[in-house]
Amino acid sequence: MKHLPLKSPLMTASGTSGHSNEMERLQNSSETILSLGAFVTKGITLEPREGHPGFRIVETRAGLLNSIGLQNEGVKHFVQEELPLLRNFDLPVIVNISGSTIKEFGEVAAYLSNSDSSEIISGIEINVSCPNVRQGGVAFGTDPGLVRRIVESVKERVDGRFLVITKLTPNVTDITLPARAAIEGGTDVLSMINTLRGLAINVDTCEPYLGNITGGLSGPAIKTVGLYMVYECFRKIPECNRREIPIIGIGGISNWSDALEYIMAGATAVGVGTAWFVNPDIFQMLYSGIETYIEKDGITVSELIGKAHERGKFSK
Amino acid sequence: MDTGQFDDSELTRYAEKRHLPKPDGLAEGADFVAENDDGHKLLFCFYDKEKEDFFKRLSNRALEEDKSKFRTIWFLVFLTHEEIAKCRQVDKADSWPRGFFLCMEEITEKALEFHGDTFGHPGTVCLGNKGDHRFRGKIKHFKAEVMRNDPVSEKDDCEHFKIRFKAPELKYMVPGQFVMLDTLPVEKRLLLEEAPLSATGKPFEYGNTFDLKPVSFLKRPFSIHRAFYRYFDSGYLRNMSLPPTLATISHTHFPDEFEIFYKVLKNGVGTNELKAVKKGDRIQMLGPLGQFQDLSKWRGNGIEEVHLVGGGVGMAPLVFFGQALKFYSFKLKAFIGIDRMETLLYSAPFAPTFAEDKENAYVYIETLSGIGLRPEDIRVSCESLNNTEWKYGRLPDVNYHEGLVTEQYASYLEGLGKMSKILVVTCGPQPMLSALWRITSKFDVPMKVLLEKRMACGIGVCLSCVCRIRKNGVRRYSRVCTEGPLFDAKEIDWE
Repeated sequence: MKHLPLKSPLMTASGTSGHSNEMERLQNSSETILSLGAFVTKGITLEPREGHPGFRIVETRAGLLNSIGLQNEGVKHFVQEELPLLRNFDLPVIVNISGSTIKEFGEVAAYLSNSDSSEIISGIEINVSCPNVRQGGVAFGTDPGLVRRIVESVKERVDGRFLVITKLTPNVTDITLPARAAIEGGTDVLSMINTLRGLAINVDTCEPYLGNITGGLSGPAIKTVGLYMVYECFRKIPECNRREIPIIGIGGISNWSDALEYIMAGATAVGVGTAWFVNPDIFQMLYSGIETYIEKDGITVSELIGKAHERGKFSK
Repeated sequence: MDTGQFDDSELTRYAEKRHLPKPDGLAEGADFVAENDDGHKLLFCFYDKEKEDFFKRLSNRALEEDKSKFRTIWFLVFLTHEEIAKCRQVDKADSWPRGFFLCMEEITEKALEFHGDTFGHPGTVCLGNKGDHRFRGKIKHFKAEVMRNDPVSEKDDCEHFKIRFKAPELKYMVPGQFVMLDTLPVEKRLLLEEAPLSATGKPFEYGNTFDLKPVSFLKRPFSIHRAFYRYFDSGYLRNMSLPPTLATISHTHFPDEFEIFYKVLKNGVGTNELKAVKKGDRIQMLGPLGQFQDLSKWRGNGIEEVHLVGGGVGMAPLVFFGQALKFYSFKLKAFIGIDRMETLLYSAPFAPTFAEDKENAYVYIETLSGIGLRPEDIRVSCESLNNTEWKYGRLPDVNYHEGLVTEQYASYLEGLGKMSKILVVTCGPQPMLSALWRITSKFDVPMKVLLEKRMACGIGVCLSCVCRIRKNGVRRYSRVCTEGPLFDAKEIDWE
């Protein structure tokens, strides 16, 4: 990827891999880490957040509806306690940040870039889309003007030290509008998609399953949506098409062919989240699946980026 | 340094470093016990300077018992060869008549010969990293072979099932830990997965595909109901010159088969799939998960008796607690609350030995009896008492209660004289736990709660399975899967 060479196109997706080295408790964690190109943390906010009460997840058909509420111990705790543990991974670390005001986003970014451990961090992923926190979330991500201002404010505070990634919400009519706004704001990379807003009701109790009523849908159910949005951005936004602004494709990837679909739609790298809950060895399998595919055809992953746009030109 | 003198202070320091469990000074206070069917016992104690007097009493008692019944043999366990040698030098052996000295180092070496790289029972002390579970206790993702999966009753509407599987990977698992398992067998997942993966001509071992009827997607968390322990075939103790009456005893070893007791929910996608799993299927599993519990330490806190109070299917994991606590020679009492008598009345033909009439045995009762609880230690509460079915009861009538298990337990505590040295371990529905908390806090009895929550990852990253905790005056959400699932009742925010 531009500005940040990755040894693998696979990344963890924010929110599904912990704030720190929780993953190391797994026996196969070293293989997982070897298969990864970068590690993306769970969302961090300026102040600690305790998260939502009641049920936080429910399994839906081919999907997972969650409403955690950005539970985290705050950026100060993260930098002191959690970030240093990520050093062992020997991977580029991307810190996902959230805020309830534009100022907060900037302050978190500033705190990270001024911290002693800032050299561990390679990038910041701005979560303009987490749909669960009422004060912000969707309101930011769906308003292109706000997206631009957030990216600008983070970009200014980071001062070129980290790569800035903007993670977009799919809860919009036209994904290219917030994508363009983020590019105008100066983002280095786009990542999409975050969870789709959804609802599940328990017919026995006549109540919504989740404590927070609505939640964000992830899992295989949203793959086609994410794929379409990556395709749209790659097709309609010249910066993406020229690969000046790389796209990280996220949403419902559960096997290697899903990952390749995202790459062919225009993604440079992919993030995998919910599938990792299902199968802790997913990254190794994705890695070897993609490897087998490209070795068979004697091509590279970067040659495959956006290949689906060359309909008719490319026949296998 | 070999001065010919036994250096007690050095040995004590050595022992402290390893946090040895401390017996409470009673003759029963061995660190671990092995027992055969005839009630013959081997009792093991880790050497500790502070226990000097205690050892003297033990050795006298061993001598007496050996004379009369020959039912008990005491072992004094040392960590290293040097320690034993030092003890011998100062003739400690003479004050340990008819007992045996053992060396943990030797036990470990012997066990490693038999069981490769996996020796080290939780609660015992082994050398360095070699046998310490904490260094090997990483979470494993593996396939377990299903040995059997049967309903507990032959009735058509039976909701309760037991699944038994072989999983030597979980041998370090202790009560209070759990597993996440895929409710569809590996073979079925493979079938679902073959088509989309055929591009390379090499299907993967594991994956997910979906059709229109609900198919489970995430793994489900389950507690362990029972562990099946294996014994040394040609263990270390066999090579020692034990009295003939004790020859059938071997050192208790790790469990390699486990059983999960589960209730199939009417609309439960996962439990309905699990119900259909057959013998010989392999299921994908993640574990052991949750905090490691060193149960032998409870004795060090002055606990002698543990009460297992379970609500419905919440009793299931407490049986595993019972097994382990028996191993550390705690006294046990069980209080079982069930909603409908018939749900737990009958057991499948594979019922263990307790019931003569195997068709009509109480499932929980027979497993509890199997681990050594006497009928008078088991009490049952049922909300709606169906008299026609009581006749199958194997328990004295006084042990039955119509109503809630919490009521029964409260009246039991009221009738109890002294309540020191008791610990309550409980699992069940939230209202029952709250009611029990009110009771135990009234009587000032310590309580531990095994919580069960909906989970996605099981390893602490998704933050789905949280519960309210109050620690040092701060309220916050704590993850059940990694900070729990066994919590001190005092820590839980009950409001």
